[in-house]
Amino acid sequence: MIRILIVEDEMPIADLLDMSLTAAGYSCDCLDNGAAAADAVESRRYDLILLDVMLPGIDGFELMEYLAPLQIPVIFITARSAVKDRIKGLKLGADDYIVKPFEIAELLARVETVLRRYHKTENRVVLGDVVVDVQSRVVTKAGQPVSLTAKEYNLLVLFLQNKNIALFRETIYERVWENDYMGDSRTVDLHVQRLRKKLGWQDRIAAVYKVGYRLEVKE
Amino acid sequence: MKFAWKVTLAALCILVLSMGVGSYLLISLSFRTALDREVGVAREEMQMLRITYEAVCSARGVTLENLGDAAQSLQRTLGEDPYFADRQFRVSAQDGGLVYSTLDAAGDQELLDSIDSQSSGYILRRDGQSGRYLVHCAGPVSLPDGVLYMETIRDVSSIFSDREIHYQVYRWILLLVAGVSGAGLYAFSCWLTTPIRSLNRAAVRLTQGDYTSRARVAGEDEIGELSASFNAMAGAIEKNIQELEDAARRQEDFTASFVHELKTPLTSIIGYADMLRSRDLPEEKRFKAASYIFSEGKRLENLSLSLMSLLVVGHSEADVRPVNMRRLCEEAGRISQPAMRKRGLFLSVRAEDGVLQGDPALLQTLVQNLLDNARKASQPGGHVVLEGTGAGTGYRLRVADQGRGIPAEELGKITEAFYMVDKSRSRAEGGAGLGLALCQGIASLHRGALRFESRVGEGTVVTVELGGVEVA
Repeated sequence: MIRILIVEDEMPIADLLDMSLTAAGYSCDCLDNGAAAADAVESRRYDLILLDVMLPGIDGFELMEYLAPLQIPVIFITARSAVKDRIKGLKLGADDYIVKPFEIAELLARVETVLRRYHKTENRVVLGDVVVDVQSRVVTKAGQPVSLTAKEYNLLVLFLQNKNIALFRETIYERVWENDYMGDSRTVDLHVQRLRKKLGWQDRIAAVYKVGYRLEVKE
Repeated sequence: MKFAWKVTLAALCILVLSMGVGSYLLISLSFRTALDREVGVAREEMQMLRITYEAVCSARGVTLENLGDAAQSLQRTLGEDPYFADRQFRVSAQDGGLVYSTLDAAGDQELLDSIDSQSSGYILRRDGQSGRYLVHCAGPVSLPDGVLYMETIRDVSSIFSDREIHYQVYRWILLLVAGVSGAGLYAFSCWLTTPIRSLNRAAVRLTQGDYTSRARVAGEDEIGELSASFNAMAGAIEKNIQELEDAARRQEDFTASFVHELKTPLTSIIGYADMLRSRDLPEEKRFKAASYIFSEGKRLENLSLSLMSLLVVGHSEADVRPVNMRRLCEEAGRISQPAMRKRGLFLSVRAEDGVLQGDPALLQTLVQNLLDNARKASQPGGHVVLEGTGAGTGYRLRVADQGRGIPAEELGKITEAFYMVDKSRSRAEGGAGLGLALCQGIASLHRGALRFESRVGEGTVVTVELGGVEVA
């Protein structure tokens, strides 16, 4: 199981990260200060660190300098959206940067992207008879390749990242089309229909009334 | 052109010109004097010779009539006479006929025409062939029956050549003087302009952003004064820039803290709301999420209220009137009493009578905030004392607690907006780090300031000396 260390001094946010990531199938530890985090990475192996910049005592940037040689992927979480702060974080060796406030879908996508970059995730995601090879972007159903467009593929990945979570049409649009949602829900609906048809997932991808869609997986 | 060069060249020009003109005049004058003297000598000689010649002629009874006969014997006599033998002269008749001549030059008819039996004359001329300067004198020799004319020539070339030599020597002297004084002047003006160059370098450094740059002040002349003024200006600029930078840094810090304080609760609210709306959560988690949304929303509300007060203190007109400070302190104590008691604290209020010009609501906020801070810092069983003493036209407030105290290195920063000594504890108490910034603002509105004395583990004493709002 993938282990994530959350270093965040704001209890509500730490809990939020913990709840979201745990629900997505990760194992999380929460710490509220830099010194404890430095100790923790020595005693346990973590696959990813979510690091708040404004920490009491040792701040996130200082802690990053300590963490950089350890080769653990780090994602900064900060309220500062100034470009120079972002550059500073990335220069110090962070892998990504999430600006508060963020949506959970965005957080999960970024976490997964960084983990994939470090080959920490499974290259193959299996759900029923559908197999997704994340590296080659090849999708097969019952051994037969399924031809998906780029948007359909991204949509599939988004659903797989958010199992059992109702995805709002605007969230889907913003994450798949990477554009601001202008209220045009037909694009999203059309792609979901195509995906359902191609994968035979008429039942799996359930419509949520007035909201959007949810990928239902029984555990 | 460099200033040093300008000064050098100008001074050199004046020097050379005045020396040149002066020496030219001097040489000309001395030449003129020498020439006049020589001419005088020449005329005198001619005069002597003429008179002697006249005497000889008269002794021998020479007349124009017998001139032809007498000439031969006269010539011999003259040739033997040592006085005449050394001298060269020419005697001619009025019609131009030569009587006697030891001159190797021809007579000057023009000169002869210009004189008569009564007067003598001379001309100065330059001999075309030899280039010599000659004074040619002529005068009448009276004979009983007429006049003969005598001419003499005196060579005055030496005077002219002397003048040439003087000129030449003087030219060299001038050149030498010009060279030496030019070098001296250049060195001097370089030395003079050193402070100007230093000033310029300082100004260039200042322009490039080095606000600590200063010019060297040398001497008490105008340049020294200029350097001193420049340094004063640079000092003022440096101070202003420093203040601007400080203000910008404070502004930046404030903005960063503000954004952080704003975005942190927003993140939780948005995140938990997102979670609630998009998945089925177990009862206990749903409760937790909703509680977080509520508490973080409250936190935002607190922040906005504090910010509002801060803005009000900073910008709006205070509602100024005489405030009975004793009553205000007692009122604040009454309001705080329940919270104090709840925490197990003992609050005592000792306030003297005193009237202060001020905004009662703001002053109330000030006292309330200080009491709140004392309460939050204290452990159950502690004492909190609020004292008010009149101080002239002003009023002094003093809040003492026996709480955890403030580390000395933090004391300077605690009145900065959003600064929290212990962030997590402050959060737990619902603080946004704006309380003391607000107090500071209120105090300075009432011409006062906060003063902290604190020992970690023993307690903190806050003293506020208020002068009251100036009544216009």
